[in-house]
Amino acid sequence: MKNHSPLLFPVTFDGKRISVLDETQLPWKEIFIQVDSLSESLTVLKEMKTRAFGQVLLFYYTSILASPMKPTAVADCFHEIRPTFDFHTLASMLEKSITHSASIHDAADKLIDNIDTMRLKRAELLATLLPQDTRILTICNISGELIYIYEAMKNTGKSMTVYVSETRPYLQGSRLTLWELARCEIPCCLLCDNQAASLMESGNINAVITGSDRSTKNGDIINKTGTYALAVLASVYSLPFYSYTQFPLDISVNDIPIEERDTDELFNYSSLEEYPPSIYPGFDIVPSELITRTVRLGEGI
Amino acid sequence: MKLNEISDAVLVWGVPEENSVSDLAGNMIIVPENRPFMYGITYTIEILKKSDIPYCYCTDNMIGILFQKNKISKSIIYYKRNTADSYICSSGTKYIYNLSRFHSVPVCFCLSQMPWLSSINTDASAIFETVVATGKNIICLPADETIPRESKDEL
Repeated sequence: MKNHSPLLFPVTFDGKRISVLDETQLPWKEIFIQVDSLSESLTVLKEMKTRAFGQVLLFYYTSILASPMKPTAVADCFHEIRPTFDFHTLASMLEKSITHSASIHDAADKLIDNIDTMRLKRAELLATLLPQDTRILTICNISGELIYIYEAMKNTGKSMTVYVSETRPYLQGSRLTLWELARCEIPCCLLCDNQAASLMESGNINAVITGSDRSTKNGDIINKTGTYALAVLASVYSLPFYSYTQFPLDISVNDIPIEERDTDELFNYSSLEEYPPSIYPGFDIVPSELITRTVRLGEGI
Repeated sequence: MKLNEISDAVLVWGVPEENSVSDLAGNMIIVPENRPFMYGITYTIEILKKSDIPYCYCTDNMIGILFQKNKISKSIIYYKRNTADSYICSSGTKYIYNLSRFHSVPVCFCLSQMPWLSSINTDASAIFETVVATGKNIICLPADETIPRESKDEL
């Protein structure tokens, strides 16, 4: 293992200023954006410079910068930009932690350390569920956690290869997951999103693992567009489908807004002058019936 | 466009022939990208435009949510050639076929003798003109996929 992925902690804070790894520039450039205010954080969020665990870090550090503004009020602003992600649960965790801490900064640091311990532990748990020679299909990017899974597998004498679905339109699979796995020398391959069925049918895959942006207590998840199709195909080919979840709530997925983004983003990598009429639902819903097991943050401890 | 503007649409996969595209008139057509060859934007939307047939473009991984939300009433798969027991279709067809079947959406197969590409974007390493990944980690799957033939599927 050469390095851990920079995506495990893509956002850092030096006490005065937030530094955000610009994920839209990867894998070509590793650029860090300096953020000094709530409004700059919201711009970074809107432009998807960071996402997934980066959003969690950005939220906590912005809450420190914006203090004495309440974390719940910061969550309201974040929610307006990315309505599918659950910033309000993060805010209530932070507000609770503040009551047992010397400062909001101390409270945020404790939460972040705790989350990282939980990420390591759930990787160990998942490693016990996966077969000896695991060939995973994944989509999007789960913020470096595939590397934790690979290490946990290795520690128990198991091997792991990762097949990475490219994840249009932002190509988080091609640009982030493949990049971080390759730099850690973890066996990995890239495929077009629509090649998943062919790969499953050929027997090359024996498990599907995804993250999730939201989840409910009855086991439904919301994740990057394309996750639902993988869950359906895993069911068709009788493959186990595992999903990492964070803080499942006792709500219905139908109550969670599905973000529909600017369709121009479908053509980010093209030189087209005119774009055709298009859609861009950013997420889809996977019902619990299609999920073999969710692995919640906090499990395995 | 937004999802709520789409209903009862026809999903096309592969490249329709210009002289048969009038069969699609009167429907909203969903045109996926058709990675890696990008048939959707290279050919299909141009053909639909010429015939004034309304369409909506999407990436291939968005097809799942369209089925889940009952936006698609029929799938048409344009195939390259057939044998006695199968259709030879472009890369990604099993994805479409299985999603259609899972959601009980009828699938029709239609022969198309369009020039099927094989020389550009043949794997996931590039999108449009942009190279996003290089090296030994790019999997190259067959450009054709085979679907078992059932007579009731023929258009």
